[in-house]
Amino acid sequence: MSCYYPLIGLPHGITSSVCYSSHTLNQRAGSSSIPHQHAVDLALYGVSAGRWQLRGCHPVGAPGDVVVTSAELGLAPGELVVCVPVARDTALEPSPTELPLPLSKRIDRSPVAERCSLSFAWRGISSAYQGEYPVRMAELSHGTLVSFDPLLQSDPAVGTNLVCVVNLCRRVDDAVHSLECFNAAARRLIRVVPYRSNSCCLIELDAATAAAGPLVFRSAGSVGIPIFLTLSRPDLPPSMSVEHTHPPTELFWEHDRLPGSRLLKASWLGAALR
Amino acid sequence: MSSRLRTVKATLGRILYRGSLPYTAFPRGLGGASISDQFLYRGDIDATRFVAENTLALLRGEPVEVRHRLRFFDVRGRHLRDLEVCTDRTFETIDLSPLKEISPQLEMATFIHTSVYEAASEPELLRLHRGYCQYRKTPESVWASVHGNFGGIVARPGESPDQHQLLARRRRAFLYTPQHRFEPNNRATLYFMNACRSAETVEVLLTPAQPHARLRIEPLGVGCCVLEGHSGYLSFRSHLPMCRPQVFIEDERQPQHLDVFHT
Repeated sequence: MSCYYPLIGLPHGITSSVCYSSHTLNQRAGSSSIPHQHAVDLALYGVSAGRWQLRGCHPVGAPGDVVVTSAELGLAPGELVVCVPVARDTALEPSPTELPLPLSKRIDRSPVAERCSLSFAWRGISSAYQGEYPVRMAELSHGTLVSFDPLLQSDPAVGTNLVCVVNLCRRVDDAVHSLECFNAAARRLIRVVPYRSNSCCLIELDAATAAAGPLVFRSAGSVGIPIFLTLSRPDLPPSMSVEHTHPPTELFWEHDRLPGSRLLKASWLGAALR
Repeated sequence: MSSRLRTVKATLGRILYRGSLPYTAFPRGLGGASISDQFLYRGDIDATRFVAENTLALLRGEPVEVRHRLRFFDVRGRHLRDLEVCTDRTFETIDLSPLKEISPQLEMATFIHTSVYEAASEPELLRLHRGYCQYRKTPESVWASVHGNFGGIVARPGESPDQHQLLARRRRAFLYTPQHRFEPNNRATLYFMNACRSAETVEVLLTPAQPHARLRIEPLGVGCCVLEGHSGYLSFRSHLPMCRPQVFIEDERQPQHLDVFHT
């Protein structure tokens, strides 16, 4: 399964970055102790004027890597650029309506999700995770999203929780969706945030709002990957955390994944709110 | 394609490519069980806690009483103790400081999460507990969060603490190279957990192909190595189907910050 790598613009002086390397993630070892290398190009696309626009292309040496940051691209909060690995010297269309399919670095059937390192820097510290946006998700023009709040923090050291829902559609799409955040127990709507396809929807929640949970996030119009950033209070030495939540399918084993996810989503998508 | 043909095709795929499956191709007797990832406890930092999901409450969209059981194992995979919490909340943050109070010398351990419901409310769907661990370096730090990564450890209500069905399988040797570039001014601590039935060896290689450490890890146990001053990537050679350590990054210039991620 090949993947896209989203680079997002964030507030509070947070810089995000994507580090993409030339090596295969997992492979049969055989007698080798060196990972297989791929000389590729990393193409960067953002949406503008109703089309994808090529914003740059970086050769990835073999061995080697490329780091792209939101600061060098001047991304505004919520703005999204997609990093797409493609074969070296591919002639890229400058403003396509559909993103090129990303190259896979798999060389055999070794189990792996094709990830890159997504990193977030703030006040001299950084936090990273291995992430990706699967092509099969990006090919969905419609879908639903239900996520919960296990990563929201309300401890005394917490200044801000930032929920970032990344949505990516391979075919350019101007649809506007809304992300609803509500209290699960009281079914009380806390916030509604509109967002476009191929952007990152941001919701900022302070420690008090997080403590008043449990909170649910839902969208009836699009899929997405929620990333939770927690930042320390400005008067304390800096510390931060970044992680994404498991999608509902991950709460069930194999054949029960889809039926379980459908049942769970139906309970929360159908909930009437006050 | 008819559903019968799809089933036959999927079964054939599992037989032909079972060498690439992280778990046993045909798990048996899973009814009534819950399946857990393998999680890491650290006793050498300020605090560790765990966020447990209440699957039935999430399914129904309403409070449902659940008994969360966390079962801890030492570095060699031997049962240490259980910790239980009853709640009806969708997610419960469980403080693991009782373990620190009882075993203050315990630097690290693994644990699994099992949930038990009243028989009448048991969901028919097979629950997979993937949870979230949170680690705090100092009382003035935010918690560094990481989700469950891999496990396939089956626990059934009423079974003794040393009776677990381990679905992960030793496979042919893999070379796993995470996409994280290590920086020379950071200290990285890598924790390798073994969810397979057999003791496994992990070779840690500084790319390209320079040996750094060799760890032997018992089933349900954990091994650890420290990396300092390295600039570049790491590879891991092992027979584990998913040799993806949990990595902690520290920078002595920022003593309150701790970064954690799964590779």
